[in-house]
Amino acid sequence: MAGPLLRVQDLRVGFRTEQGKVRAVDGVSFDLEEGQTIGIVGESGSGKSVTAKALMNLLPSYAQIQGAAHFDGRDVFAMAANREKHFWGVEMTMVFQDPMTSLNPVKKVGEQIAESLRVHLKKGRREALVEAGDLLEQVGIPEPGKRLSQYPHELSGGMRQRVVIAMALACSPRLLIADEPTTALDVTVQKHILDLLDDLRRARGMAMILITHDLGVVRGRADEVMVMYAGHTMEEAPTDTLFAEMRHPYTEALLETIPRIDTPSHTRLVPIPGRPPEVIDVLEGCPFAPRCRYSVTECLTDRPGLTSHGAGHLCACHAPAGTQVGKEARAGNEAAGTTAAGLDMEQFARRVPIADLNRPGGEG
Amino acid sequence: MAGSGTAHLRTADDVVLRVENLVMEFPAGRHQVVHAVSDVSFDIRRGETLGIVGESGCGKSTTARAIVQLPAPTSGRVLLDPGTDREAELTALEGEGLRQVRPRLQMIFQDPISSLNPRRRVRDIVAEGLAIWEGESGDEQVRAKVDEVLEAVGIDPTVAANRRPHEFSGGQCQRISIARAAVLKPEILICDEPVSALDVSVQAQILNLLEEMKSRYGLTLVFISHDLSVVRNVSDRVTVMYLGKVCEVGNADAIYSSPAHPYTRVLLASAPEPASTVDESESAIGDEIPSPIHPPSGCRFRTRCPRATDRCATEEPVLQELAEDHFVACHFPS
Amino acid sequence: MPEPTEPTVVERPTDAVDGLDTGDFVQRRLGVGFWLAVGWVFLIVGAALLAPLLPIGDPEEIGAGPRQDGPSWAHWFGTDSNGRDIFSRTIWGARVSLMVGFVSIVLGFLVGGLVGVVSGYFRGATDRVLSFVVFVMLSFPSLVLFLLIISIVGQGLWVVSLTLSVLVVPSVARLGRAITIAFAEREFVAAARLLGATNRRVMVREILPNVLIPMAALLLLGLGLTIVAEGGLAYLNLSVAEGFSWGKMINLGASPRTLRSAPWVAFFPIGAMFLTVLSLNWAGDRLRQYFDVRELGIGSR
Repeated sequence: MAGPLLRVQDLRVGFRTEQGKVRAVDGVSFDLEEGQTIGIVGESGSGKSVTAKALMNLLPSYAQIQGAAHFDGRDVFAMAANREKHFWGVEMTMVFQDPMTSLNPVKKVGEQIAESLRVHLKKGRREALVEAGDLLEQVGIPEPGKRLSQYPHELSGGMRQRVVIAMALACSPRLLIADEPTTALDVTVQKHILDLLDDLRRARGMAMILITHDLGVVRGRADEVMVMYAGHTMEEAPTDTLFAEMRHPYTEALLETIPRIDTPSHTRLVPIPGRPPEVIDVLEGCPFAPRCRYSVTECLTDRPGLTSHGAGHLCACHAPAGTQVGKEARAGNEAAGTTAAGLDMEQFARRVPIADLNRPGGEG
Repeated sequence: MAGSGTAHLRTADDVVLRVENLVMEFPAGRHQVVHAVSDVSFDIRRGETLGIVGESGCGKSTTARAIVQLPAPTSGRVLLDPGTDREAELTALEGEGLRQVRPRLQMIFQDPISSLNPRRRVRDIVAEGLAIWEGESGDEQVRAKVDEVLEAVGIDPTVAANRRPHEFSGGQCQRISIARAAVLKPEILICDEPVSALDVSVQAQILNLLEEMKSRYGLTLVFISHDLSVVRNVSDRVTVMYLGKVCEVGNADAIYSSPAHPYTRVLLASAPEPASTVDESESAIGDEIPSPIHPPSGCRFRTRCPRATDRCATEEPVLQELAEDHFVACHFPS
Repeated sequence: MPEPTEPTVVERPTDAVDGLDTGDFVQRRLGVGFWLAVGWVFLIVGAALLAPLLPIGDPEEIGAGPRQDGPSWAHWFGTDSNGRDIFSRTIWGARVSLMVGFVSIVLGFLVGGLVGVVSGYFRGATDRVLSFVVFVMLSFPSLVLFLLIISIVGQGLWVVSLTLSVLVVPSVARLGRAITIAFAEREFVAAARLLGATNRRVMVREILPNVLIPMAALLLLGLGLTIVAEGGLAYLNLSVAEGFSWGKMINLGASPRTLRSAPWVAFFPIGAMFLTVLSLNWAGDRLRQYFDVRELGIGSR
């Protein structure tokens, strides 16, 4: 079967609540080739996790799913409807943010890894345990033989996440979804886990969806990045292209707003005013328009569609950053002192060190 | 690391907070003791921001709680305005005496939702400090002060004052927390991971707000975070902690541009986008953080340290001056 | 009970979507059943309060109708072996049943709640002493205690109510303690103490408003229990000596002979008690669920 390993087309996920229908994912499409990594970047409420859960068949029954997802040509949602048992956890697996959500606290680590081998691949108890030991070694756990008979609470956070990764890898999946796999971990451990995922993916020729709120995490680790906001795809591009030629004002703002480790103290941060929208009703216009430096009147009324900005680079914006239209739109807003959505432009003043007024006098 | 010592304490007369030899231990059952904070000292000058950075379990939040005596430390001294006529030794006070000095030291917390009483209205929450010391939230003067501080944190009092916390987003709740703390015009504001629970796009708003509040109300900040970039952005001076000990103290830019302690270097190399001053490969250390019940002898970082020798196991390094306002507790600093 | 207020703005519902596993999206309405239950409780309480004004016969009038006569137009619920009107007696009997139940549960909650909040807030030595007392009370055989008190003091309305409330105190204290601990560890309590609030102020202004809501829901459940307990005591002839309650009516109608010849004598007070307790339990449980989700923030991040 030619074509991508995973093809998601116009995925929509809605939840009916008392306040109205929540459109958690609103028309998301992407392709993922065998052995490739796509990074999905977004804040809470962007729909990134719901997208993953929809693909993993983990959404509750009252979620309304529309659109199509094909894994190696097979219809994912049809498999869900047919209660296909040996797909999730075998060909497509997932690693969550908090390792303890995936681990049973009263079961030994070895048993838990062996379980999926026994259930899905019908391996014997002894054989499965031996393989579990191999897997622990592969995920970089020292003394795997000893660890097999330990309980999750006896392991550190980083070790637990390694165990969870071992569980996810047990049946040699072709696609691994990692949903904020390091957010709950310590700084010095995060990098190790991300590097481990990367190494394993390479070694096994596995595809990966890496979900994160941190653009820095996907940089250098994903082949392609999709930036989501309020259930929409804002920008999608090969990773290097994205960082070199950022087109969407949201992507640009996200990168600018984060403090950098190399900039001097008291550098004023460029804020993104306001907060993410509540995605209840159909939005007219662009969901980011109320917080955007580039917004023009059109942004408030017409929802921009994804347009091409070069090879594999898609962006949904009427006045993309770095283009002539965008530059003019921003210059216009700066001249007017306010954006089409009524944002005060002054707060976006460039990064300048805050005056030394806060600093104490010379060192004593 | 593991540094004890007080070489880095300053004698300047504008020191507003001095923490000396702070120790915090908790019983852990079976006659065991968690050594959460072990002999930590630092000071802060008026108008300064001290960043405390470290991973979970390094004792940074415990230190913050110990400063405000919630709960009081096992031993050590916490002094407000030392050497002045307003000097107060928090660790020597209790009951009413402690309550009287409390307003001088306020705190904001990580969880914006849990920080606000869900059953009270925003006006009453922010007015609480004034209600305790000046008059109830209905008073005209109190009302005016509450409105003023709400506006200062970017919350419109006419819209928000009569609402309850669950109607606000995390970022807005954090603004309300800042307003509650600022209304008493404290000398020191301790911020314990104030932006860690917030969305990326909201963090900068709160960080900028803290800077504004600092100059507007003349605050001195203690800023605690696991995020090195955030700490650098707000801090004048930085303290790096590991397993209840201080590794490195000094001017923020000095620590980030010439990190001397191996642990500081690991932290800088582990960031998603590592600092340019260290090599990314320096992040390669073991994952196992030793138990604070049985911390390693000598330098507590030695079990993961690439430079550790026998000396590190037997002799605890003491903070020593490396350059002007740059102290490190390591036998083999960079 | 304060009317629950609808929040006007909902904090990013998509947060809840992200946290699907944590049990958000639990039904957020009180539902028709809740209001039916509340309606029944109001009806019973109203009838009991207004009994002297209602156009119903004297419940103590012997020979108001034929003896052991089945339900009829004249006597809706029939008559008992003394020819007394059971409909009238059911309404009047509610007075003692509800009174004993209400007084004992309210007293039990006041004392138990106070003990719970104090020991949950202060912890430490205070907690250890209070918890020990509660533990002893829980372990004491309640029926023996009851017999002891009644044999010494007598079977007055207040004695019975007070004794029942003593039985309620330890369970309530434990619950109050658990709920208090959950809130006392929240940062807003630390923030209040940092502002300089006294312990009393923290308990009254910060803890109590939060503890009251879940406790009020449990009070309804507890009221159901005390009403049943009174019924059980009456059946053993241990309840209020003066007057009569549902329990005493059931006692009269529950002899095997009467049950066979005139089942309605016991059936109607049993039915009234059953529906009342069911309503209280239902309403209490719905309230508890409703506030668990909304206010306690359990399951939210």
